[in-house]
Amino acid sequence: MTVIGISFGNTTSSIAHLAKDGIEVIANPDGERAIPSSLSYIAEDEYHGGQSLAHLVRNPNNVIINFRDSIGQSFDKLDLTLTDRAAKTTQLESGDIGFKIQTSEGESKQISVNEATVRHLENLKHAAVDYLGQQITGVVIAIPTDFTASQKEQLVAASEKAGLQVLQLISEPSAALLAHASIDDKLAEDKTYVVADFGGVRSDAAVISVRGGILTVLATAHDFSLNGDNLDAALADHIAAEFKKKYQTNAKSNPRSIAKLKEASVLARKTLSNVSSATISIEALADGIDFHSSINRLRFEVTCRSVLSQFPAFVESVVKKANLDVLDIDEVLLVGGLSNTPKLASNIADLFPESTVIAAPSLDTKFKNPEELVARGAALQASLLESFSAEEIAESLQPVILNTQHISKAIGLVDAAGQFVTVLKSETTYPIKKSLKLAAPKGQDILITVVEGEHSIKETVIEPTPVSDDEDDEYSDEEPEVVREKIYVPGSKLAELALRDNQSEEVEVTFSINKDGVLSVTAREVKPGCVAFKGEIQHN
Amino acid sequence: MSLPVLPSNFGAENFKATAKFSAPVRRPIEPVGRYFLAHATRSLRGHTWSEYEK
Ligand SMILES: Nc1ncnc2c1ncn2[C@@H]1O[C@H](COP(=O)(O)OP(=O)(O)OP(=O)(O)O)[C@@H](O)[C@H]1O
Ligand SMILES: [Mg+2]
Repeated sequence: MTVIGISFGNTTSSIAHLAKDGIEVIANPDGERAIPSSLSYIAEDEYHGGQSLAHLVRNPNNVIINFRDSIGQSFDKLDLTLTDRAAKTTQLESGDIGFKIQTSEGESKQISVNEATVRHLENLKHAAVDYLGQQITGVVIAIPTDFTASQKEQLVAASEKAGLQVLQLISEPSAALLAHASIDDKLAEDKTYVVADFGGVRSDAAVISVRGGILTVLATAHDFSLNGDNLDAALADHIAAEFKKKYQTNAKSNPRSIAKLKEASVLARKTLSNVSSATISIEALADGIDFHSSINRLRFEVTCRSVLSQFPAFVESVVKKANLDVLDIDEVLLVGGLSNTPKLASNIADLFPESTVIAAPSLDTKFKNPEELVARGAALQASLLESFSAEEIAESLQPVILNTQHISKAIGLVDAAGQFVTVLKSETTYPIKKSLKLAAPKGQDILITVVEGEHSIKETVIEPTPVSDDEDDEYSDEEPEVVREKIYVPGSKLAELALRDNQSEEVEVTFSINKDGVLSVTAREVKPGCVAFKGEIQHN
Repeated sequence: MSLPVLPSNFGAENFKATAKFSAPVRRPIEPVGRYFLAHATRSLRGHTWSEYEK
């Protein structure tokens, strides 16, 4: 008896569970950890995952792909082009959204999106049961932040039909961040993150503040026209152009050739994420001509430049939506299969100051497998929920528990140099309690001034150092560099607290806000048995 | 970072509140992670801080 976490994407899905030494992603019997979210029906047989995708070249109309976002959605809201290259999304006779599939001569099968979801989840469940050798008692499934109530309802219903009892649906960016920040208990550090998730058919981003281990989504953004399929299309065009030049034959004249181009593009892109060059090998691409070529990373990046250059703007848009500046972002967590692309990661890194950590595999080998983070987080949440009853979980999701107060400005104190020292960052939720120790002069009365922090952005222009060689001067393309910094200064004074007759090297100051919003400030010598000086501050 | 000495004219009082802190914003938090579950449990069962401070 165990619980699992599932990420269910339009392109791939993953299953994870808590093993003895941490969260583990479960491979299906074919060894796939990112399992294509695809089913196909050919003659009497059903295929799932990569085996199903393999039929896209020969039997595209029998292959179901990109159906996750159609769950619980009204037909007019769907992007029908997502299934152009496979079984088309249509309205079935039952009125449901689904797929009409010709299984063998004259025989047709109607599969609703909900049925496809059930079958997909059943296949994932079987993979997990096979691997774990035990029954699954519950599942946490991650969903995008824009899923509607009806989409959630339909997904839960499908999951229960598949024999997977849903413990909780959690949002994809929070799942990914949970998995990422739970390593080394980074969740305990107050940081502001951007979680950017780049998939096969959509890009999603969220700004999430973590305060006292609590996550708050400050803004979200979605872009359905920025995705891996676009990169594949650009690369396919490049291959087709090369083919045409060599053989004067159009490699995009029929669906089968187009499917082969797509397959080869995906393979080449994935290879180029790891190594600097990839071979492209397509049998009978068009007119029975085989195509063999190679592409290096730079060529790929130039070919896909216009798509790759759009990712930073998308990430910047979510930061703006949260009313923040890139300087406010401590860390950018790149999620989703496409985040393996080195140029995509470096383009995003260029948007942020040096001090912002960019968690992406090409920039730091610690951050492996961005496509697995969501499932890992879901599995972690599932394991945490194991000790709670369904009733307790439901209670914890009530608005009265979820809608929590967040302070709107940083609160801290003023040190001997007149500088602002942050104790509680803005967006800190309460109840909260934070302590810090500060040096203090011995044998004196000490002043603790409690203030809100005000911030401004300081821009310093650094002129390039002139090159001594005067001949080159005229052509010098060195531009003055603008260094931007966020500066906090003491703002509105909230209170002053005296600590009398200090006899220690260090003073411990504690800020705590109770559930009613009363801020208590306490100061005491770091020495057992010393009296505490304290006072209370209300909020507006 | 160190703390300053109390000015000599501070007076006998030990605490002077001068202003309220800015109005907080009510927002939903994400129901994930152990800190959230501790928060939810505390709120639902009315536990005090000290029980969770070990
Ligand atoms: N190693 C890799 N290098 C580059 N791209 C990759 C790599 N692995 C996967 N991808 C690409 O990532 C995309 C799929 O990402 P992912 O599996 O996260 O999507 P998804 O969450 O299922 O889809 P969506 O978010 O669009 O619903 C595909 O375009 C795939 O080609
Ligand atoms: Mg995704």
